[in-house]
Amino acid sequence: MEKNQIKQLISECGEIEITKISDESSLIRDLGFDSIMFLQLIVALEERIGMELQEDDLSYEKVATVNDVYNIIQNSINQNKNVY
Amino acid sequence: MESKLCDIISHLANNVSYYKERLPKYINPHEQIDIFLEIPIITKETVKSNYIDFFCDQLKENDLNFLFNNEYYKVKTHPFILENGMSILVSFTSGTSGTPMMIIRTPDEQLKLNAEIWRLRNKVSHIEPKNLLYRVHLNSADYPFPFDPNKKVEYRIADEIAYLNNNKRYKWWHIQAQDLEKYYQHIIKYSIDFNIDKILQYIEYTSSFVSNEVRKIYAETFKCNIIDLYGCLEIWSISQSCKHGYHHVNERSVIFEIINQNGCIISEPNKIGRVVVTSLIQKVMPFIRYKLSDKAYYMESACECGNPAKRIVFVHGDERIVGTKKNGKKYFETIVDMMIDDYNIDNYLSIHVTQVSANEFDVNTRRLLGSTETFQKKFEEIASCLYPEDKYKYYFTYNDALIFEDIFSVSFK
Repeated sequence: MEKNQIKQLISECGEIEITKISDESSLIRDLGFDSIMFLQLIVALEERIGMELQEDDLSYEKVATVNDVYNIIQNSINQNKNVY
Repeated sequence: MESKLCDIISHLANNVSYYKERLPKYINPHEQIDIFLEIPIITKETVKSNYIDFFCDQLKENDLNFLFNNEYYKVKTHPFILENGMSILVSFTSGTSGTPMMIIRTPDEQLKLNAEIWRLRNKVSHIEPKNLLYRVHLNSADYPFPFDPNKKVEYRIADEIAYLNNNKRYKWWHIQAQDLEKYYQHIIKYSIDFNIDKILQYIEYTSSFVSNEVRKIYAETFKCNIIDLYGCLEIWSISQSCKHGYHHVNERSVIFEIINQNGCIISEPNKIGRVVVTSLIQKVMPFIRYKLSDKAYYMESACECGNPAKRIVFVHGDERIVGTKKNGKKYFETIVDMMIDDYNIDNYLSIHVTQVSANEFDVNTRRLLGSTETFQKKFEEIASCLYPEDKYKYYFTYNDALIFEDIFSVSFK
């Protein structure tokens, strides 16, 4: 999953213009994400990648920025590859 | 599930006072199930009487005492930052069994619990948080409708039903069962054609027992699927009913056990016992082998819905009464409540109502002090007064030797 696709999802879940989202944007501090938006994002990400995120990655600290979201997606995809 | 179990047992052994002396510091994964099954079963009372011991070491006694004695936190879930900088969410149980119990989670734990509920929902149908109408209490501070929450409930319900009927956004409605009944009563009373466009597809109720018969009536009236999300404030979601009406445990986040009155695990089908649940997610305030007041039994054979998890049927958790008919447990609960309140019949150990055929019920009362004649007369009087159109026949017995399981195993429908 590309970073632009992640930004698109963040934009939809947070109802934020995509141009305002950078790789380093903090979801809470810069984009005003609340717990419902986080949940919305998790649901959307899992649906998009077709698998559940690693439970340890479901943490506000681990999904603090756009880059972090990208990293946990890669982590979940890699973990899934290792399983099969 | 097993790695989660190993992880949580290790956490308990090293960080939670109540378990430190009871568990080995190092957990061999091969022994985790045996170790788990040796952990004592606890109840709400156990936790309340050893409050401090059930929180992990990060939470200090001063913090806990402050939170517990602060009325502000008892109204709804509140965030709080501890002296050590750790963020927590504080909520309290309603206190129907006595004093409220303080429940503490981290925001991350809450996120994980919420994600689990969404995964359950998405297994049923694709649903996003923006399509959910979350309605917890009729008088909740988190009022989700665009109306005045201070308006009288009966007037608000009319507005809310009209709003939902014109709704284009909400596909899924989360509501407490007792509140759903109020909407149902209003719809019936005013012959409202609800959900005409069928935008609302699922109603997910929680917190009370609803019989299959009533669930079918709701499905017809609200013109959508009715789902029972079983859980509790302490542990959050435990199981969800499938389209065939059976419950399947969310095995990713909980371990579910049914135990008999001697504390032994029941694994055979059709034997009713008490529900014991372990959260695999919560660590700050762990709930391990936590006995609830609800009762359940396993069904034989796999479910037609395709879910390989054991089928579970819940029976409502009131100690006094067993058996359901119209309106689920309310039917008999109301009768017994009136007997106690209005006729001072309070000297008994238990009253079990068991359905033996469509219109016949066994009523067995144990250790009744007083006249059995008066008891029977009052029971029948109240039943016929409350539900005059139902011509049920009651067979009264006073067998103190009948134990709980014996009654259930005979003829519960």
